[in-house]
Amino acid sequence: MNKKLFLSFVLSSLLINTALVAEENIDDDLGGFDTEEVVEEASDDLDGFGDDDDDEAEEIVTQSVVKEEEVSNLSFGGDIAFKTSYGYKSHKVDGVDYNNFNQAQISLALDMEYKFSDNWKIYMSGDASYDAVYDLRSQTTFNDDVLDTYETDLMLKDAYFQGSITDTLDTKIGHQIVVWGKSDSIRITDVINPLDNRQPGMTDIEDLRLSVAMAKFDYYVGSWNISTMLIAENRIMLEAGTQGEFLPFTLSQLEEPEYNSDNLQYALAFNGVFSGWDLSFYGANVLDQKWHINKSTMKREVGIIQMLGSALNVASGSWLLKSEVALINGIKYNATDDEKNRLDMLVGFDYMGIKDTVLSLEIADRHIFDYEDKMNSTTEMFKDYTEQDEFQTVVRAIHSFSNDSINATALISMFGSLLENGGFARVWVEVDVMDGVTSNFGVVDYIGGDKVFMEAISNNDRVFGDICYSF
Amino acid sequence: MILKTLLVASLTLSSLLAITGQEIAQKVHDRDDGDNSTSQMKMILTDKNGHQRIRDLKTFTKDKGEDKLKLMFFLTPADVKNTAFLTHDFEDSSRDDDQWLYLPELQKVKRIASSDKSSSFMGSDFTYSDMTDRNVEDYNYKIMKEKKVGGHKTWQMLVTPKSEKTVDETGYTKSIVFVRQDNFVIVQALNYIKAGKKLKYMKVKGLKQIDGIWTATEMQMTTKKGRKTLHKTVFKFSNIKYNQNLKESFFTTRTIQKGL
Repeated sequence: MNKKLFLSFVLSSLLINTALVAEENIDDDLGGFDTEEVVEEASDDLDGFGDDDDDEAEEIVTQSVVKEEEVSNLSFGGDIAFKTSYGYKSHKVDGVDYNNFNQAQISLALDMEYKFSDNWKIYMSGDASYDAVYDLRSQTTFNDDVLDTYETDLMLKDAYFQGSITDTLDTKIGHQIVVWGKSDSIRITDVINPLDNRQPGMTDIEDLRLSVAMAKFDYYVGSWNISTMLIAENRIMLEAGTQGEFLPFTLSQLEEPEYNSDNLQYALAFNGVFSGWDLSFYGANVLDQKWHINKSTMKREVGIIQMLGSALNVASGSWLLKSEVALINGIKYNATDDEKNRLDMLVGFDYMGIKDTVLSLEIADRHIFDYEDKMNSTTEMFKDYTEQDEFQTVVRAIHSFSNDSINATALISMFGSLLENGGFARVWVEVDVMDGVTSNFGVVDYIGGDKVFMEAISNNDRVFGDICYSF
Repeated sequence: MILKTLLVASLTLSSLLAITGQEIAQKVHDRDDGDNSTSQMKMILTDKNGHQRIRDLKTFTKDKGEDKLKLMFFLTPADVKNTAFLTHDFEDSSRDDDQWLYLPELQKVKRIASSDKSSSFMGSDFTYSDMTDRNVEDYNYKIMKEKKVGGHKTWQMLVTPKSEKTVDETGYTKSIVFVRQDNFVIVQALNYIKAGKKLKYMKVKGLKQIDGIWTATEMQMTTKKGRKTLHKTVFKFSNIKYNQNLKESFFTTRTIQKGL
């Protein structure tokens, strides 16, 4: 009996003691709050709620009639930026040693928005840049195409008139960018806008697409949006300067197609947004994203293709699954006389289950139907350097530090089923220096491989940096 | 004697606390927090060196049955202007919220897989889970004591997730919340972060009754390790209006794409 009493006393003491210790730990934590606000004896952790703080201010407002702030209908913005890069591998192209500073670009971007009403507005943006490196390296003779491509630039970006005609019908008319598809790094169904390929592997994704003039109408019904576009401009991709670092070849002139009834571009999309998933269907008659050699004129041209495609997003837990498919008709190649059809497919995912981190993988295959060996034959004069199945893999990892003030990104983009065709790896850090001021610095490694274009630029490795003030 | 004393004390405490933790949590959840609301929000981020970043946002909220629709537009600074965030926050805890982000530089609406809510909300000390309502049934509640905060009587409650899944989703292993007894507003909360032995102190620094609805006009979240402040975020709300004519069709990707 005495033993039982003793045992129950010990157990009770232990339980009470454990409870008291747990309470003390919590009290320590609660010491982080304001001591002044806790009437009872304050514990250390509860003091952590604030150092400065006045009591919670309380006010009773009986009606939420609040004076509206005056907002101007006209707003301006833009940014001033400086970009530089240094090629750290020795290599010469057209007599120019690129193991040096290769960029010292100053740019000014401006945008303007005017709101006629809550529903209608016009927006314009453009930028101008000057790369001082070509004057700073005055002893070096760059060829004219390189200078034309990189030294100065003046570009109208967006210029459109946007509004709602009815509650369910929107329009946007003018120079604009239309992004199709669910993938972020590989373009499968994203065929509307041409790309700026002047510095492959270096161009920021926001500057990659080039706007084109079009009239776009969006009709909304339930969870669906029907979008139709009439494209009024035959704008093609911007390519690197020939005999320059990113295109170390001599190529014939790239012809911009005439705007006529044979070249009319138009597109239609059905976009469904549902709980947990999104689905889109696309159809387009647009310019191809690649050029081919017209053997009768020996000039490079861009043909018209027809694309039917679909894209699907499914969110599940921390996973965002992505898939795209596009059947492209009428692709012209260098080596063959007939047009080919191609099936482009993509699968991928974003994983957001790690705190402040996004991991992304996208794998694509472009399969050419009725493939002919001469398209990649060493004996073919006009070969296309393409295989029947062209694989591309992109891995991206982003991690945010210090409350999103520092974002580190690693991106690897490789071609080939076994990554044998080359690609590039880019690692960079974006720092929020202060409100409106950001800076990037990083390194790009161009990886050579079986693809002649990737092998040719495999020594373009560089470190880069920029600083940008937005206003 | 000891047992008798404990029993008497326990019975006395029980009679004092006639309401249970679960009931308080339910009343906090059921409290009228307004509908069809719009507001301006200033987000002030302060790092450990006192360096500040300030973001201005316009927010819109609408109830859809038990679910909540939320829309936020960044107005400043210039480098994030027109970035927009759309959330369909479902009451059903087994269902993932729908979230989309519009990034103006990409001119693209991007869906976000939202199961993990422990990440920082737009660089602030608030996480995505702090920005959404907690599901009452996902937690156990224990009233620890009564305390006065800011001159008002509060219940100090220990809130512990029932499952590891909830811990993983929110990043918090437990919280101690202070609920005002007169209006069921959480005026202070201490959150225990799963990783890094850090603590997050949430404090309501401004509270207004607007159209009869108790509304936080200023909230502060401070991340601390020990006594050291690592980062602090203050949300200041102004121009808060309820019962605005907001249609459900406003809370769609169409709106974030078009902009304000």
